[in-house]
Amino acid sequence: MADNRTTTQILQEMLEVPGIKAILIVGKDGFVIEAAGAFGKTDLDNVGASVATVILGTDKMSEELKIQAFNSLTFEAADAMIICVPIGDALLVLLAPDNKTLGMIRLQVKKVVPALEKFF
Amino acid sequence: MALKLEFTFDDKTYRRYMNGFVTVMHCHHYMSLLSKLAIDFDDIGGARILCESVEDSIRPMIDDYCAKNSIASFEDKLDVGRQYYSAMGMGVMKISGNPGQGEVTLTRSHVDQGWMKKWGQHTVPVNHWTRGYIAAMFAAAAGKPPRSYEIAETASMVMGQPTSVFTVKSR
Amino acid sequence: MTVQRDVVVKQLAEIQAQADEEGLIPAYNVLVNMLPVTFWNTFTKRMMDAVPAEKREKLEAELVNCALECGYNTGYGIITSDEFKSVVEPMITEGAKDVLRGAYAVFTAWGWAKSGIVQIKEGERMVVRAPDYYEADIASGYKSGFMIRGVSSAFFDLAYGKPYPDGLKTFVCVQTAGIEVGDPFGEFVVTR
Repeated sequence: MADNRTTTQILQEMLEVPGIKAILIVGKDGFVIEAAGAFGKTDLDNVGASVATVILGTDKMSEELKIQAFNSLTFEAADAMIICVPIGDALLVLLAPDNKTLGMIRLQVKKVVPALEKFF
Repeated sequence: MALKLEFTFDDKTYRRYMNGFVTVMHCHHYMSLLSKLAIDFDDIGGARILCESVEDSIRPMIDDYCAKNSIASFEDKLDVGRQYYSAMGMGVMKISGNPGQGEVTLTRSHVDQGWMKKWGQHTVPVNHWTRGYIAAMFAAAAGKPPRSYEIAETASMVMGQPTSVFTVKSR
Repeated sequence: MTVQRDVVVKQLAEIQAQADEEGLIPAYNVLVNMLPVTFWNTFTKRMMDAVPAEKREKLEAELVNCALECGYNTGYGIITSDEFKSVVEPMITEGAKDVLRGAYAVFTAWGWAKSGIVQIKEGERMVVRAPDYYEADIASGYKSGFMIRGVSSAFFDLAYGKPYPDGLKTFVCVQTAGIEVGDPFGEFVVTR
């Protein structure tokens, strides 16, 4: 069956996954394409720019180490976890308060990536 | 008195402001095509709509500047309009007149020079944009409501004349 | 590496065009004007309100065309300018895709529309989103991003059409979402 969901609908559905607090889709250049969830007063443009800078760094690292580009990137902090996954020319960025539901989140990401990739 | 210009931008939207009014840069291609569009759609009043849109969007800028800088006389208000015209990149004006009538000469004109740069000379005047601007400027200076002045372009750079001339008459 | 939008926007936003002693702003091979957006929006709205139904499509096409030629000519002036060469070009590693990313960063920095690229299929299709653009201020109830439509197809013409000045109107752009019609962003799709 054809998947006619919009990116907005897909992101809203992802927010229902336990543990996912907020989601961003960021262009490779740092442009914030779409956001969903609880960001409070966070400046999303700055977050987008930071994501682009990090990706730039990892690309460079891959190049230096002569390994392939990353297909998932996880940052863990005491009070947050961030997962970045490439979707076409963009990046899906997920924010969670901790790693308790990491397995569920990864499973959900695996499911939605093909649906999102066609948009980017 | 020299016009004080303050340029700012909103660092969230990147909209740009001139003395508190959102402005945007466009080029002579855009202006020429828009002027032509207004002329081509004259069956629905295109040129009139162009003039009135200019009058209604420029007037608040002149009124606001004069109010904030305590500029009260007819002549001084006209001078604010003259300087704004140049600051917007629209050319150079020479103005004479009183609240009843006047004359405006353009020695440089974005609309006319832009049109000629794009298409060369034309057989009729095309500077409806400046007609609206002059209407706004005189009405602001005289403290009159919109549509108080009738502006006619009697000489035109696009028709090969060295300057463009507009006559101003109170309705 | 690719174009770092934030770097481009922040550097170019600082540039402020100013009129010369002749009251003109010559830049990027064109004469620039700097007018209140209320003028552009008021004119568009009043023309759209005045036009009869049978001529509406023609008017819309002409409004888009004004920006198309503007975007094509000024866009070319911008991507060949010293500013673009010094700020954007060093970051270009993905050819035309990166030129387009840079072009939208400039489009944002200079206040036309806060906009960026969602998708590029090279030479075929581009999707652009804009979370803020001045045409959204038109309380129209219909999609009125005519300027962004024109400029977006012009940018794609420059990137994938025949070399300037012969590539104009290779692509067309439609608006698929608009803040002015209640969507959270404007969306513009360019195709052949």
